[in-house]
This record gives sequence, C-alpha cells and structure tokens, in this order.
Amino acid sequence: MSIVKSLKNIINNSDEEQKIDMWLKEYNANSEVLNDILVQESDMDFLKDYQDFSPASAWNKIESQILEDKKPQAREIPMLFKIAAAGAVLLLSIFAIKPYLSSELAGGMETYAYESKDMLNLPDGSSIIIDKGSSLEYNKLNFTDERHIAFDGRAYFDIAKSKSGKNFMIENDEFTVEILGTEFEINTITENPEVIVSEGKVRVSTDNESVIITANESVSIIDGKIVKELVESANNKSWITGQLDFENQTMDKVIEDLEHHYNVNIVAESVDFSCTWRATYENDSLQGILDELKETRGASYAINGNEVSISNISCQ
Amino acid sequence: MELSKAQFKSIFDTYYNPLCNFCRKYLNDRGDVEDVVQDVLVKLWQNKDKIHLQKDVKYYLFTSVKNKAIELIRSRKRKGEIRDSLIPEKNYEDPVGDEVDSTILKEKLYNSIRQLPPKCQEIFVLNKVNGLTYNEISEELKISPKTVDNQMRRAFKLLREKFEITK
Repeated sequence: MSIVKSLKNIINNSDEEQKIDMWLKEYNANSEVLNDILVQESDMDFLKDYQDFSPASAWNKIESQILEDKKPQAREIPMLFKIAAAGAVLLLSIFAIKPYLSSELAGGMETYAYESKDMLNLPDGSSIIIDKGSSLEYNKLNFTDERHIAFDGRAYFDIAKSKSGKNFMIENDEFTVEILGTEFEINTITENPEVIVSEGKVRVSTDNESVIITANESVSIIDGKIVKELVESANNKSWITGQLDFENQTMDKVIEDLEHHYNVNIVAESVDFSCTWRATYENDSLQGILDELKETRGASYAINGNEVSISNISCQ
Repeated sequence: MELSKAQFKSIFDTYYNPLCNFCRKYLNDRGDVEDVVQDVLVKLWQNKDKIHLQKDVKYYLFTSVKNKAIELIRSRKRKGEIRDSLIPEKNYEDPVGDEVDSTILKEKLYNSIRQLPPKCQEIFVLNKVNGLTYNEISEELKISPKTVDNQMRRAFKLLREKFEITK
C-alpha cells in the first residue's frame, strides 16, 4: 500500500501514468505469486540466505551524504534474521478435575459425569447441553441461593435470569466464568480452554486477570493468559446440531471447525491452509469427512483417540 | 528525472534491502555490499537531473549495482588483492530482469514473515525456510506438535491477511 502510494508520488507526469499502471499490474501479479507461494506451501528455503541490511542506519549515512554533510559514520552491527530463543511454553493441563469440595465434607453435593451428550436442567431454570466426557458438580442444598457450579469438559449454557440476585458462577482449574445473563459455551477439553458467548455477557477470570465478553466474542486461555477473539465461524454450535457447513472455507478454518465439532486435537502438516473447501455434513463421522478429504485432496490421516493427524492436503 | 527527497526516500525504502541481497551474489563482504549499494543510491540522487530513465528506476538501480560490484572486483584484481579467475561480464542492457522481480518478491515475503509475532515467526521459519518437520520443531522447542500446528495456522492466516491488504 505504502509502496503504491509513494510510487504514485514519484510519477506525476501524465506520460508516465502508463508506467505506473504497468507497475501496479506487476505488483498485483507479485501479490498473486506471494499468495501462490502460500497456497502451494512450497518450501521457502530460498529465503535462507536473505538478510536484513539495516536500512535505518544506511539511510542515515546516505542522508548525510546527499546533504553534503560528510560526517563519518560507524558501521553498524548487522541485524541478522535472528530466530528468537525458544521461550518455554506452558502446556495447560486439561481435564484435571479438581474436587472443589469433598462430597463427604459438604452435604448435598451432586456430581455428574457424562458418557454421552446430554441435557441437564438446573433447579433455577437454567439448562445445560453437556458433551460426553464432561463432569459437573453443584451443591443442591444451597444451589438456588448460590448458583455456583464446578465444571470441566464442554457444555453450552443457557442461564436463567437470577431470582436471588446472585450471578451464576462456573469454576474450573483455569478460570471462573461469572454469568451476567446469557447463552454461551465453555470448553476445557481443548488445549486452550475457551468460552464462547452467543448471547448476553459473561465475565471470565483467571487468578491474574478478568475480562468481560459479549455476543460473538470468545476467550481462550493461552499459556495462562486470557486472549479475546471475535467468533467468525458459522459452525460454532455444530457439535450441538450435528450439522457442519463449509461455504468455501479455507482449510485452516475447516480444520478448526472439525476440531471444535468433534472435540479433537488436529495436527495438520503439509496442508495447503489457503485452499478452500465446500461441503455440508449432517451427523457424519470425522472419519467419513477425512475419507472424503483423502479421496478428493489426497490427504492422509490417522485418528488416535482425541489426537488426529492429517497431512498432505492439496488444493485439487 | 524529477526527484524530490521524499520520493528518493521511498525508493530507498523499497529497494535498499533487495539491492543489498542482490549484490551479495557478487560480493561476499557485507561492508562492500553496503558501500556499493549506498554509492549507487547516492549517485542516483546526485545525478537525478542527468538521468533519463527508459524503464522503471528499479532496473537502473539493479543494473548499476551489478556493474559497480563488478568494477570493484576488477579493481581489486588489478591491485592483486584477489585472484579470482572468473569475473562476471559487465552489461549495460537489462541483465537482471527476472532477478530484479524475484529479489523484490523475496523482500516482500521476508518482510511479511518478519512482521509475524515472534513465536509464530520462529516456528514458521523453522518449518518453511529451514525445512524442519513438526516433530523436529516440537522437540527443538520443547512444545507439543499441536502448538506447532496452531502457530503454523496462525502464520498462514496472518500472511494471507497481509497479502490481501497489499492487493
């Protein structure tokens, strides 16, 4: 953009308008080539030798020369294409269900563990669609007063308005969600636990920070930090409805949606993330969809419990 | 040619780094490369009134850099400082057409990659530029293959967005 603008500044004479048009065409062609490089995901080892020659200090030297001010300048130490030192990555432990209250000590504790997708109606009129492999705990003696549950796994919450004036609280190891009246999803099964809000407002808090999110926003806990994002996908509730819709979606988005829908971790290597995919599925198995990718796009895959690896998806 | 200082600066911004990388084909020493490219740019400014370009200024710049680099090699050989048997041919036509474009393309790609967030950049470079597999990266950086995958997807997303904006 800035290059285009600056070039427009350089050439102002009408005879040379043509030149800039040509240049722009070429520039767009370049941009397409860049896109192609991304789409084909070809190796970029041709960049191995490419270097940064510290333009900033070079400009100082040149500027001093064109102003005929010939101050000698020291040669600056080159900044090479340095790869930042590896920082430690905190892997979040998932599914570590910590008993918030021991049921022997606290009377009235109800614990639910779900083997399959199910729906739960709570005494205050809230309802929860809970995915398999999730667990939920609350104290039925004081629930209507406290509205406090401990939850791990994945569930979609439709929380009733408070009669007691207490906000609904949901806790797990990573964070606490305080519901300010709304519909939303909590998922602690993924590598980066997340909360996705469909309606209303919730507050998500970790030990260190607190964030309010509203409709079509989500937060993930990445390396212990709260990261807020806009929700882009039309397939957010696909795991509830069973229906997946890909309208020329790029592969990275498709894979993200598949992960969300089947609640698996997918590692995708040598995949043309910029390619698009168009398909609709209703209650299909992950294997069925991956078989289709295998037949039409040459992918290979392996499913191992929650861990899925896919490789070599090409555009055609 | 008409050339204001702002215009000259934007030429510098666009071509300085690609010119240096191009010049490295002829000269090994980083300092030599910088001297040659800076000389060529300063000449462009000083002679701006005398230079009449048939083509885009980039061809002038790349050709001048090539010729200047060859001159330097020759003069060193004359002085006996080097004994290279082969000296590239000087050429005032357009010897570098395709190379000009591929170098500028590299610059854009390089620049875009450098604007990725650090972790994302590191992983992208290890995979795409250095050719490490996800598993090798995950061992090297002590992170899970899934994290590598996440960062790769992020990198592609960001690069794609960037190129669409550039369009």
